[in-house]
Amino acid sequence: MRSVTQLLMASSDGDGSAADELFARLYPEIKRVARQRLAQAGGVVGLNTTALVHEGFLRMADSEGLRGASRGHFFAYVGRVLRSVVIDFVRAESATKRGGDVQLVATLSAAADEPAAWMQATDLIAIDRALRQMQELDRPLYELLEMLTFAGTSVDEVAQLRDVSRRTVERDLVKARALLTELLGDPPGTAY
Amino acid sequence: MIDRANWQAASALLDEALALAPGAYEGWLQALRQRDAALAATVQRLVSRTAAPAAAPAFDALLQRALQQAEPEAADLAGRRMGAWLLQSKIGEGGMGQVWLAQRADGLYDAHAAIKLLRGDLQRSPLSERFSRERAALARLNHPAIARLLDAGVSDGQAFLVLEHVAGQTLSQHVNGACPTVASRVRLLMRIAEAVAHAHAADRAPRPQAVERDGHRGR
Repeated sequence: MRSVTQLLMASSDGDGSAADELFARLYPEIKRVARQRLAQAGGVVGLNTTALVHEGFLRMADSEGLRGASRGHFFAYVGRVLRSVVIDFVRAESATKRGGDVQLVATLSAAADEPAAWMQATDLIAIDRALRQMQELDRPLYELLEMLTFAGTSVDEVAQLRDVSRRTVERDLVKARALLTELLGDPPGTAY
Repeated sequence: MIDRANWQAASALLDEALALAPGAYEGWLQALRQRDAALAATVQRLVSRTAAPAAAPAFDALLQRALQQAEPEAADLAGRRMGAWLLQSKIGEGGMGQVWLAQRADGLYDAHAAIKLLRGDLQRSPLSERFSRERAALARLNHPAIARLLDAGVSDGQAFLVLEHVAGQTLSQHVNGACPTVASRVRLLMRIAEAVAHAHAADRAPRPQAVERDGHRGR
């Protein structure tokens, strides 16, 4: 059986069967770790959720012995899984509510307690699609967004993982956001 | 839409643009426009997109709610009918899905079986093809050390395999309890290897981890 490190490296090189196996092996575990971390924290964490669950993934990466590039691929993968957890949740909610997407967006925005929730349920699905395109165009930039936006990885951590300066990571992040906005076809100035 | 070659050229220029001294951008863009007007337009658009501030994502709040919600898979499947079979209790769970103990429910005869269900979120993924492959491979297998495939189907969009139920222990439990000596463990390993070899011969994509599940027959 291939190790998680081998699977992450192969999957990042475009090996489809490795990606499938990774999905089957890591998806339920990532979900479990995230739930567990959240349950341990008790109470409402709101805007710190990704940072909070990230600590659980640090331990998971350590126990799998992930270092360097494969560790980076892993955190990017965590981002993808957490995104799909949210998308599944949003889809299930909109399926149970007969009101459909429009009503759902209103509910979720209110719950987020943010007057201008930048990411609405329907956006999330479009973002998912744009990110998949980005994965084909520029894998390192794609992984950067997954890590920083959806997996709670910090800029310092990424700099360390990639062995580059903080400044480089920040510049790449600016580029990544610009490319994502471009792929989404939004008017310039939209924030992600 | 931006393509790969397009993006590679634009990405390098975007690096350049972001490193320019204040005030140098307009002249730089002008020079680029004279070289390649289309590329200059793309780069200009991308640069204007970099002005976006980094917003705090509401993703966190959504993630919290999603994670706190009861696991949809934990929906109790006990009593659900899959073809001629009635699910009774969950035996195990792996990356691909759950395994349930099931009872024949059409009254034709009394029997128990193990039913393997593909995880709901995988139904549309390429893994469902692997599930079908496993079904095809198992159907061809006939070996005393491999659990037999009895039936298969799809119920309410849920793919399932009905396998011979082996009321055994996991391999490690069995080894700890019944195989104290190295010699007995090697004998067991050889029997497992024979079964794996048989599966190999029947299909190029065997599932050796399935054999690890119990001492005599695996799922």
